[in-house]
Amino acid sequence: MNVYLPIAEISVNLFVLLSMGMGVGLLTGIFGVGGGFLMTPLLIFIGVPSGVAVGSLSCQVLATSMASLAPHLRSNRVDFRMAYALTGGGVVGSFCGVLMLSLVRSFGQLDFVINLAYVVLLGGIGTLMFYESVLVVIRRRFGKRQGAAMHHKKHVFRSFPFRVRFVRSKIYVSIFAPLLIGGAVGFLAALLGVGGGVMLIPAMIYLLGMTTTVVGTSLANITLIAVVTAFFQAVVNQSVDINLSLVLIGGSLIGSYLGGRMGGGLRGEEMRSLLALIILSIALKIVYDLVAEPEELYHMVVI
Amino acid sequence: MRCLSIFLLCGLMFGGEVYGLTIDADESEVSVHYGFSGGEITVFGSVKKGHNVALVILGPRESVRFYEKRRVFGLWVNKLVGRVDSVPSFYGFFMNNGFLGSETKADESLLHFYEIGFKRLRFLMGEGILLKDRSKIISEMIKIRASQGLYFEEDRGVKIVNGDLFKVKIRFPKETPTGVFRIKVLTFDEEDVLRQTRVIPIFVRKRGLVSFIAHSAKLYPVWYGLSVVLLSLSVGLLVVFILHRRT
Repeated sequence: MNVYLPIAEISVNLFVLLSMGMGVGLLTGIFGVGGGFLMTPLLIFIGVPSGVAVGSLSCQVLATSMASLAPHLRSNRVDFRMAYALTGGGVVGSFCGVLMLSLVRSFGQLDFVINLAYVVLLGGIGTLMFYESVLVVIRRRFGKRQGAAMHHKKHVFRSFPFRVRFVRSKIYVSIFAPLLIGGAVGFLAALLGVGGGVMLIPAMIYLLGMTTTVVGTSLANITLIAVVTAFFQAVVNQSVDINLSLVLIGGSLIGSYLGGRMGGGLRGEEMRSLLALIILSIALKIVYDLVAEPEELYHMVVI
Repeated sequence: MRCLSIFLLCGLMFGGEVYGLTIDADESEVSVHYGFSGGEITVFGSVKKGHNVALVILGPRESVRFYEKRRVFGLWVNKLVGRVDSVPSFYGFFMNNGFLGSETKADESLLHFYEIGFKRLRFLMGEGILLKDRSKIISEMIKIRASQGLYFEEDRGVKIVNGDLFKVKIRFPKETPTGVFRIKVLTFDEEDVLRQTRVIPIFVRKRGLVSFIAHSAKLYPVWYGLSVVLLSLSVGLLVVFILHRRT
């Protein structure tokens, strides 16, 4: 059964799309990451133009992050002051990301830039995660103390001016810290069609020193940024295909519900190293595509 | 099929032989709807006995930028070659028994005028295209579109029934662009001299919800943006509500 995507102007199999959404949703449920970084390459692979894939995914991120945020809101685990500060930077970052997309598209380098950004993002995160989780497993096996060396590092933003107290998160940090972090995450979120949780959570823990309200606050920020990004994508690039978004939303919400029920069996570090391996293999595939001689040397873009 | 029987009837009424070229299609529109997976129309008509038929279908013309992948620091990067205008978004050529093959006696300038066959397609080379690259670019563009199923040639695609009725099945792949398509039917006599031509339009249109979404996104981007945001938020909340009630 096919479904026609009016913005992408292609017809794709409904079950392929749904199962892609479910597959990525399962990962979300098991590993707790949004999975947008897996979805964009998959969509491009089945023939969705990269711009439309990125634009439509911002709606999917919006729906899934809203669904994940709701329980945190109910149990009051969200630092709204921090979320607003992150979003303040994020809005600017997201707008720049959307403009950047439209600029590189006019140069005909959209696929190249998206692929390159993916390699940097996935390669970086995958390597860090793998390194960290393997280290923890080794330490445990050899009976060493699980040191949390990262938490004791001096925060990069300690010397920045205009410090503000974030009561719910129990930190006292320069206002520029969440603005800059939010800006960087918003930029990448718009450029890559990802939520950004995979970058935001490590940044909040290691750069801001937050502990208790990390997940709820990052979800609040991702939801707010996704609202802005989806809107900008629709207005500036006209690249949001709501048909595509809705099918993906349906698939990923079912998938994450099922994944959440399955996820209890594995230990944290093992799960993280598994996810790191998945991320690294995707990064390697993209590197291969960038380096290997392409089958088609020519292509054309309708103006 | 009803029209076909009317043609047959006319044929019988006028002494069993129809002289003029008459054509029609079973559908004048291909609608791109929610579950669109391609379409098909049949063009049929009557032709003088012994004459051959060629049919050309052309989609709306568009401008494209042509890129070549080049290696820069080990990575394959798109390099703009230039702009090509007046590129048909869809092209199909059909004839009976391959009569316009390489040994045809037909007037070459007329065949070029009617764009009979891939090698006679007309493109307008825009800025940046060097004369020496011209034929290479054209053949690559045709190759790309043919691989997408948007350009095709069928040497025996025209079926002649009873010597004076013909029928052509045109398939539209799911990637077919929308717009006004022109179907040109040409008849040639035994000496390959062009005798008659007819043109009919075919409309490929988005219909229903598909058309509504595409138009709203283009014409009212702000409202469309607000609606998609609200819709996504409410779907997210709805799921939470359903799951919360169940648990």
